[in-house]
Amino acid sequence: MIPLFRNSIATNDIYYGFPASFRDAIAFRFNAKDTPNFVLREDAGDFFVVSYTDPISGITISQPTASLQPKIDFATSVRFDNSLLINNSISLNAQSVAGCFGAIQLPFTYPNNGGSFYVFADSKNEIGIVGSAGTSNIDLGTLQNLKINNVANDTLQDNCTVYGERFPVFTSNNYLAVGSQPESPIGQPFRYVIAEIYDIIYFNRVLTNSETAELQAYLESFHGFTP
Amino acid sequence: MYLIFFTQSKANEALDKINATMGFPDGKGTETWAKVAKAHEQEIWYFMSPKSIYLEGVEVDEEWGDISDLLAPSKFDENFLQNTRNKI
Repeated sequence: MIPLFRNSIATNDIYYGFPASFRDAIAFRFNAKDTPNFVLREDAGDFFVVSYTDPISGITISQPTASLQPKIDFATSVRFDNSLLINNSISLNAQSVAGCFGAIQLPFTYPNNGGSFYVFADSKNEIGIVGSAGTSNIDLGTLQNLKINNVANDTLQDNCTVYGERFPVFTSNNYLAVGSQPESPIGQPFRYVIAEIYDIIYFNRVLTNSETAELQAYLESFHGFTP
Repeated sequence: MYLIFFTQSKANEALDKINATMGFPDGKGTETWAKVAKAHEQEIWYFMSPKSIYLEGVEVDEEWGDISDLLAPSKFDENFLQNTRNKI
């Protein structure tokens, strides 16, 4: 057994410790601690994510092209030198955004029903647009847009933070993407992301401010960032 | 680092060799190391380089670290970005 993670938990514990009052609102969760849900590829001691199955929705996202697969490290995070693409259009497999990790269909219409999206990642990460010619994409926000409770990310905890994007802007195809194209050219700052991602959660409604605070506390604890 | 080719067939041939060396498709979900991309309005083909240990016997025209000259202009112009910022 390869000791990939510092705090391994069972797949069926994805809800472990999650605030009960809004647990039912989770529509999709990408959680780097759920090793049983990953299919990994090893390359000279490095591990890359081939696919991930969300234990809540049952959706599998995958990236069959090795050079685009995100690297997974030994500390429960996935390094998205490439991207995770989430797509809520009807066509599940017809998307082709360069550099994306995978395409999935969300089990709800987003954001028309007021869903919300949170990423728990290293606060030094840069998260922005993922795009390529010929596709429509979503602006997850530049750093100044990545706030929670209207608090800028740089005022939150040093190590890790929740980036909440309550009203992301969709273009016509309703792509929702996190990550980057690899080695995007200099001068196109909104087309790249280098991110250590611990958790991505989509809710089918907007959380209240108190719920958001609860979520932040839960994620810090869950991923071992509680002081 | 990217591998650069001046013909598509040469790029395909190189990728086939790399895939054979790396064992792709591997039956576990990984089908190929990369996909050959064509440069924007140029007769150049390219894909991301694997580690050098997989390049033995692979014929490459050039290796570039920066491929910005090969890409189409970003569709995200300043107006688009400003509009999206305003909506958030």
